[in-house]
Amino acid sequence: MTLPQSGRTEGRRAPGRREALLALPGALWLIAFGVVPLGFLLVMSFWTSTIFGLSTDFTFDNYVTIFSDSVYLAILAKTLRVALITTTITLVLSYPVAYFLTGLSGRGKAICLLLLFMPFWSSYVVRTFLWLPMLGRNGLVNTVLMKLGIIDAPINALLYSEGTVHLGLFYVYSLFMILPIYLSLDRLDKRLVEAAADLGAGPIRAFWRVVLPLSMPGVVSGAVMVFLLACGAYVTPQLLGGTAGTMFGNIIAAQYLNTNNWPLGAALSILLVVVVLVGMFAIGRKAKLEEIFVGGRS
Amino acid sequence: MSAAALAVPAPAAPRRLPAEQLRRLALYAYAGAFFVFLYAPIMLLVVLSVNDSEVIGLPFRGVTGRWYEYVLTTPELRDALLNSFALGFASAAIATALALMMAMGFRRDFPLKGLLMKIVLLPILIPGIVGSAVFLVFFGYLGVPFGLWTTALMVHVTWALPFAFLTIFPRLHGFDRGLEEAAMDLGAPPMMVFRRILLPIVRPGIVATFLFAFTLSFDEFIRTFLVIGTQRTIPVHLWTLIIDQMAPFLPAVGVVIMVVSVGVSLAGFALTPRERS
Amino acid sequence: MRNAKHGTSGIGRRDFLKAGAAAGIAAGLPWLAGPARAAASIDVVMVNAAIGGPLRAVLETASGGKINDAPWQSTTDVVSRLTAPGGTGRYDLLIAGSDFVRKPIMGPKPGSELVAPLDPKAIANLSKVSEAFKGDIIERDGKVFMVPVFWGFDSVLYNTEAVPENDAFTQSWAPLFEDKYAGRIAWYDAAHQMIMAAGLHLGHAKPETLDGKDLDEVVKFLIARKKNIRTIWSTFAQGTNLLATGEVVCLYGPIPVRAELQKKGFKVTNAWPKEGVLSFSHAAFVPKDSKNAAASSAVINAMLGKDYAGQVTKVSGYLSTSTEGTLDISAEERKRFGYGVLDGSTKHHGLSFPPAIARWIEGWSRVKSA
Repeated sequence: MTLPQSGRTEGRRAPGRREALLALPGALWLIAFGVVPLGFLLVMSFWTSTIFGLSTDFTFDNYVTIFSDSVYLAILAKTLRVALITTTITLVLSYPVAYFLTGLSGRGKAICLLLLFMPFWSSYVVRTFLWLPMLGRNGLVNTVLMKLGIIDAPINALLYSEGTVHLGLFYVYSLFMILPIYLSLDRLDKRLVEAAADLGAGPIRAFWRVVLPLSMPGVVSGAVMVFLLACGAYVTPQLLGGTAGTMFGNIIAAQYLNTNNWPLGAALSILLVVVVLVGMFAIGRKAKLEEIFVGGRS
Repeated sequence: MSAAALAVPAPAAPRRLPAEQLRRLALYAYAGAFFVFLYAPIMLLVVLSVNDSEVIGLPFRGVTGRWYEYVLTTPELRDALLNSFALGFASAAIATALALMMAMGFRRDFPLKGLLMKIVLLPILIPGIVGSAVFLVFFGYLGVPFGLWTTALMVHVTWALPFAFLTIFPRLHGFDRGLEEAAMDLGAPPMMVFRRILLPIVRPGIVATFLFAFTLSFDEFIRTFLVIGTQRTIPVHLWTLIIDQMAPFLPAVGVVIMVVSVGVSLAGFALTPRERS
Repeated sequence: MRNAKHGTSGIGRRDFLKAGAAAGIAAGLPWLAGPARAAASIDVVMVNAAIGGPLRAVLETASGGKINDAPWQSTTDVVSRLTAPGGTGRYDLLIAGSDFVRKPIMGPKPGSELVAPLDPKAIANLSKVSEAFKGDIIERDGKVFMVPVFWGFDSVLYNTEAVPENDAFTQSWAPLFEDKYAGRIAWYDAAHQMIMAAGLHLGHAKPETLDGKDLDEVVKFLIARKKNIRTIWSTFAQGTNLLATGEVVCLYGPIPVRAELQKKGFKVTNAWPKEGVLSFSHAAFVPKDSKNAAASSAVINAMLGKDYAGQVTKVSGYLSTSTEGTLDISAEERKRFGYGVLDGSTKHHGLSFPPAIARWIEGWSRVKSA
């Protein structure tokens, strides 16, 4: 079974050639505010910070610092691990929700979508902060567990651990996973599933062979979004991670907010961006980034 | 396969097996559990917003309305809300428009398309804090004054644009071009083709994209923080409350924000034109 | 095309939502349509607590402007904002740790200052800066660039219900590092402060001079004791919350945290460590391209005046650098607030700028990621 559009020939593109021009405003915007500033960051990563401001002499000092000090690389490795675990958790826990939403219709669907969006219209900052009163020593979870007699003393590990960071990231980023999966499931032709059933495939088999493959664009898109957001996480590890919480985003932030070493922050940022890009290439089977993001395109 | 066939609701299957009902039940139970997980902290937020305690947390020390009274009688929250809504609408509108146009353009092949596809992803690949610092320096060198309608707007559109594009592109890509091309062949002007054929089909996608972009903007903190100057959006306001005060009225602020957001989103849903048959 | 729309349509939904939306808007409009803010504003970066309560009105009345205070991060953040391109024109008034900001904002030589000289006539209260802080008034070529406006100190803050007060162990920096309160301790995410405190605890008379092997020893010590701590806080409110919620019983703490908690009735106080509290002053300065220099000067002047100086301690815990600050304060209050630092009855150690700051920062990164 293939996507309906995959059989389309390329021969018919001539009539709307001008349509390609529609991409221009967005492209210009992205170059002006995406490429150019990043290029500027790259340049700055070869500068150095002095007490009186920036020295613009070209030097590899920042990169030498990063690669000669195991601290930065260790945190980078940890950050990638946390991001990977978070992405996996988020994917596994979010997919059924997206699937559930697709099965609804009419008012029920509208209400559930609204219920899904509503918490995300409060604020990321508050929703992260809320895990403190939820999971703290005197928090809701510990209080309830103690009242029920399940535990005698508060569980310290609920808060300020790497697990808390996973939880916090899942909580604030699950929408980024659910929405693309939902959108790709929603435009999936239900008759394909029925056809599979008619051909004797059990529902589980039909899911694995038809539904899941056809929702892969959404899955990949969601997974990549969550992975990237987790790689750059700052607020969550800052508020919830405790001593186990330092991630690469915090180290970069420290260069701007605490230690005023912008060029080192720039070099660290470039490193992270490069690692993420390399990771994307490695994940994509054919090493084509765009296929990951609009997966399913033939 | 025609576009109309794509989204047919699954007809109620008369030959449903008990096992399938069981699976369905499990799915509903799971979804229920997920919504409980999603809302438990929100419920706690509501409880804490009326907790007569100087600390944001348990134990519950009785009901008070004073946090709401304080929040609703001081201008800070209102100003931040107005800023956030205005910024959210503006950046979602711009980002959605740019994304829709780009998604349409991307259905054609053109030079450097592959490269542009990578550039689209760039704002996502740049970690938030880096994005913020990069704009801080970039706008600084350009001499752009910091503020809601200058730096913050540009940052928010740049941030929302890739997500808007990634949300709308699969939608646009997912239906057959036959109708459109037939209309073009029959001499329909492009604008009419867009309005009569493309728009009705992608409208749900546009609405979803706009809401998503608005959500991204409304909730954006780290990229905004360094370039907003002295103005406040909601997340920046909240961060200040957390960072520099223990602000026992913080939960009340959170609840008010939710109530207002939900009210506005309901209005948004209601005012979205009902689709013609 | 009808079937293509089931994703968002639903006949009853619209009316239902419309009614809800209309009710919501009707309820919210009067509040949302409140008056816009006054136009004239002084853009300020300072510890927001030091402009809390009645203090804002005092400064706004004195300067005739509306004070717009950006969220406070840290002293180095203030330096970052000022040294950023265009940074000298973005703010009208900055207030941050004197010792830290001095070098970067004054520049290496005359003419390279990032701040404007202040008009002495506009700051008549300059003469009221108390003897102890005269040294923090920064001048160059006879012109005044920086004025200390308040001061404070960091110490061990602790919950008196869990930690005995009259105890030699408590009255030292030891609770932050030793095993006694393991799992109930919080550190501060600041290389400078934490290494100073650990240095004092380990018996270094001048910890700010730490470098090389000695510095490594202190870093190793911190890494070894990291097992004892619950978390590392990075904002005042985080620290406040940790103590208030009972998450920890002692932490490295700035004085506004103690003031805030005591005001709200929490059983929290600060230790007077035998090695000394870590003291500092915050100085005000006006970026050289500020369009509002006159109003900013008026604010600085007001901060040294009686209305502000007399109230700042009760509001924020910070102490006034002005002689006006101590006029209405009893002897007991002087001691409790920390004025003993000035007359020598309370041991203190200046939070001086460490020459090896880069290596301190790197060492602290190792502690955090260990």
